[in-house]
Amino acid sequence: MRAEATKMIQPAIGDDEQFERMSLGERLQHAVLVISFLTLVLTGLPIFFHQLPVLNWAFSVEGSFRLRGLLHRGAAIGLVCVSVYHLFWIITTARGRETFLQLMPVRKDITDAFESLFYNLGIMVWLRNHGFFVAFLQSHPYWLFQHPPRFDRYNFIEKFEYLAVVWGNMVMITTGFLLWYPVISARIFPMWVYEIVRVVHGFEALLALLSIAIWHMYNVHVNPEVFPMSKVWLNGKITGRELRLLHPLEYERIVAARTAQG
Amino acid sequence: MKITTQPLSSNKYGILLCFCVLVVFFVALQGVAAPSNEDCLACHGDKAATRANGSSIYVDKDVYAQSVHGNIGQECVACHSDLASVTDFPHAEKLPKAQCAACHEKIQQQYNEGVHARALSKMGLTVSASCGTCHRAHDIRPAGDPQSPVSRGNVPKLCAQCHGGIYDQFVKSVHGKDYLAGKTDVPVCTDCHGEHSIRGPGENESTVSAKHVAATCSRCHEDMRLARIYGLAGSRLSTYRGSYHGIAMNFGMTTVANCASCHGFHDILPSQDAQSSIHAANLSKTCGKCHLGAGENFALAKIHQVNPQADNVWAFWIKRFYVGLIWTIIGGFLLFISADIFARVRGRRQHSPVEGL
Repeated sequence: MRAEATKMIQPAIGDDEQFERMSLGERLQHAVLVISFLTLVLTGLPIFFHQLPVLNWAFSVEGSFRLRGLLHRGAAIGLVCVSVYHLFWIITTARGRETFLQLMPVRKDITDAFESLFYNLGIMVWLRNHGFFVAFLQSHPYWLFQHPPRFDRYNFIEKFEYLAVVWGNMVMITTGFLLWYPVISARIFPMWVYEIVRVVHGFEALLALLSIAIWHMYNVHVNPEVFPMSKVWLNGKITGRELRLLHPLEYERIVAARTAQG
Repeated sequence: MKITTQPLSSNKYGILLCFCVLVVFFVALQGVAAPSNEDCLACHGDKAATRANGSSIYVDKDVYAQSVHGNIGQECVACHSDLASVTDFPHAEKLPKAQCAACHEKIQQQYNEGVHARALSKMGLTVSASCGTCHRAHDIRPAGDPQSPVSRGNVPKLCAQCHGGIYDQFVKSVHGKDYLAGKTDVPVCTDCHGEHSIRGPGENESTVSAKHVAATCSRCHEDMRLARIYGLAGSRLSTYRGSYHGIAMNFGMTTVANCASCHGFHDILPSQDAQSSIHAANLSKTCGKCHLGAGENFALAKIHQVNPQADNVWAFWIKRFYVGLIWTIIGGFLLFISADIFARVRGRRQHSPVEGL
């Protein structure tokens, strides 16, 4: 059914046609985020892993630890700037609002995640083939998860990453500011809270690093769909073929819009 | 009786000449016989003997005999080596100092690096401590001897001869009170400052420099035996090392707080003492030295956290929560990634832009 529908409307979008997925402004936001994030990680993790012997070598140059602190704060300002810009971009531009709304999680994202996982594992089909739940699966074929979920402009993976960045940024900027100004922090709350702030800043950073290193890097680099690298973050372009196969719902919306325009 | 005076034959003159040459040769070879201790004591054993200015030149030979040098039979000229070749006595009044370095070469080198030597050689002071100032001259005793001025019991008084103001501070401190009480475990000046190579706290190599003071204090304050005897809180160094101050200090940022920044040094007092820099009432002032405007909330933090769960239960559980959260989220990522790879390996993926994947 779905394949037929795709075939019917295929002529509206050619496989080689190029679509803008990330505008120049969005790519610049991403670039500032990448640079500030990497700088923050490189200059911040030595505090978290301060017992690593290699750090004694890394900070053997006079004044290098001071420079670490300056770079960390400088990159933090970069992160704050891009976050504030992003907020204004969402509020003030139509494209920003639209993108933000499309990135908001909906019920479908949760089912998409389950469908994707069970489809990939193929476990329900395997169970049916081995005589389990045969009657149930006969009457409820959905639970076989025989088709991968069909995604819109942003799939559950991308939405999760975006929300994780938003959440992480809020936590890191708040706790980071409090760590930057201990005197102001101590005016707001007792110092034992400061210790909690320090714990949160460190562990949230570790979580962010692991998320980027494992989840984001797999999805935009290692995944055979894009290996060795998705170039969207550089040229912002996505082909009609990629749109049709990776974002079929968006693809269909574009086709529908074109058909309506005639 | 006929007296015949026979002139010496040239032969006999030759023999005499040879004898004289030999004598001169041997004397020259051996040097003039150095004055023995008895020779010196001929004058210096006289209690009434004085220099031209009236100061005594008396040396008590019994005191010297009990000293570390007299004990092993060292000659006077072993130290006063410039007198070994003097034949004309009484010798000149003004003599070079005793040459300790002839035997104690390494210690002399250490001393030359220290602040006391440089005060004379570089800074142009006219008075500073040299060997004899601390060890004395003829009654030098080993440091283990309670009568020695450099014994543990006497070191603070010895240093106080010049550093009297510091001594007054020290004896009011927690260390000084125990020192006056005769406790031998207590640190005296040399335990923190070292001995011959004492350096100023501003010098990196100093045992009391910002970089090294934590290691110096922790020789006692990380010591379980002393902690048990005196009820000291243990793990002072390890808890400092884990703090931001300690981490930054470890990586060479010497402007952050070290032990002395908060606790003081000569005037260290326990936190219960109202005069202490770390007494709850004084903490905001102490922290405020660096953290300008530090309010009273600064006092509510436990700096040296030995037991994380008891010292800050919220921080402890939030840390636990994060560890669990990280394992859960990363575990979820790995599950999804593994499932994705599994599906691709089995060729089940259909809607992929890459053929066959």
